[in-house]
Amino acid sequence: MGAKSASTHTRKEVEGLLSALEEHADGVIESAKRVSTSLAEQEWHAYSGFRSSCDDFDTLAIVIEYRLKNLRGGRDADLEKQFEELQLFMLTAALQASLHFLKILAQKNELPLGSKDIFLGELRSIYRVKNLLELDRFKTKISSRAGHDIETAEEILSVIIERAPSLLQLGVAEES
Amino acid sequence: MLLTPDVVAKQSEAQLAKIQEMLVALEAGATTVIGAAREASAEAGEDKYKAYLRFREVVDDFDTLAIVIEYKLKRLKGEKAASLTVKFDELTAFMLSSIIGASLHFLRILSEKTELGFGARDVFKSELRSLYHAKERIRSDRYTGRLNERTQTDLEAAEQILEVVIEKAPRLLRFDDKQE
Repeated sequence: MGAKSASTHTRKEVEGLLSALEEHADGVIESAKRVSTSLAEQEWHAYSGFRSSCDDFDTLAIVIEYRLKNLRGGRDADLEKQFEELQLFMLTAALQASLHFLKILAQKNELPLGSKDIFLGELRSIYRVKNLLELDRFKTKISSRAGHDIETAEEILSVIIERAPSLLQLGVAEES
Repeated sequence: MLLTPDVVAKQSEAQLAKIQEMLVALEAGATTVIGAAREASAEAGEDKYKAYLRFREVVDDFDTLAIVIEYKLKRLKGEKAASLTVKFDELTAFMLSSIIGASLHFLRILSEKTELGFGARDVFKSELRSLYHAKERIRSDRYTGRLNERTQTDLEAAEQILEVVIEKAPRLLRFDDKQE
């Protein structure tokens, strides 16, 4: 690894990456729809595709964030706003999807084989997304629907954690 | 059961004992993560990534248990709960520092390669996200004052490595060839 990169990026290049990010966002939404259907039918295969599309969005967003910092001619408020809006959209959509998946799974007293990893993955995701949405840069901009989803997420996390570790099988003794 | 002050105090004691037990499990989880990181790093040098998947799994287990402990601690008040919270924060800060150290190591190994194969590319992307998010989390107010000098140096290295890696990212990761 060498020293810090000194190269900069053109507005056009970052605009191209933002369009790609928007396409990724559409891909995540489509994938979430497929997961909802498959979870209700106790099939888990679609889930890894959903997680993988979320990860792709996340990776590309990190790349864009750094490129926006190194934009030729200095920072660009319009592009930064567009990027932030897209991130906020994705975070609220991810939170909605996680809440939906967890509701489907939480209706079961015991987690069927194959669904436990999904349950734990969504638990971590909901926690992470909720914390991100509560950051200063997002919390003043979220819609009332998203605000309500954050409250629901907090309630769901509390309920699940009350049922832990029997439900989560965390390797510690059962609750008395 | 009638919730008299005595009953509430007993329930709270039981909760604290349970959290203490969970913290012991979390500490054991941290040790497992460190061991798994070592194995994964030795394998990555030889272009093998099976141990890496195990490493990510144990990190996920650590995170899940940490979320559970955090929520349980939030519901409790008093001196003992405060002291367990301090212990919990120390343990999660230690884990975040270790994760940053491990990510830096993986990314250094992988970025020396001119082209990444299928398995290596997934590890590379995963570590890029892990480093970015661990860096963001450790900078939060909760951990201010808990970071040692080594972690501060790692954070500066992380920032530099992210800059360099992201410069190379689209070519190395091929996630968006058409943009290049």
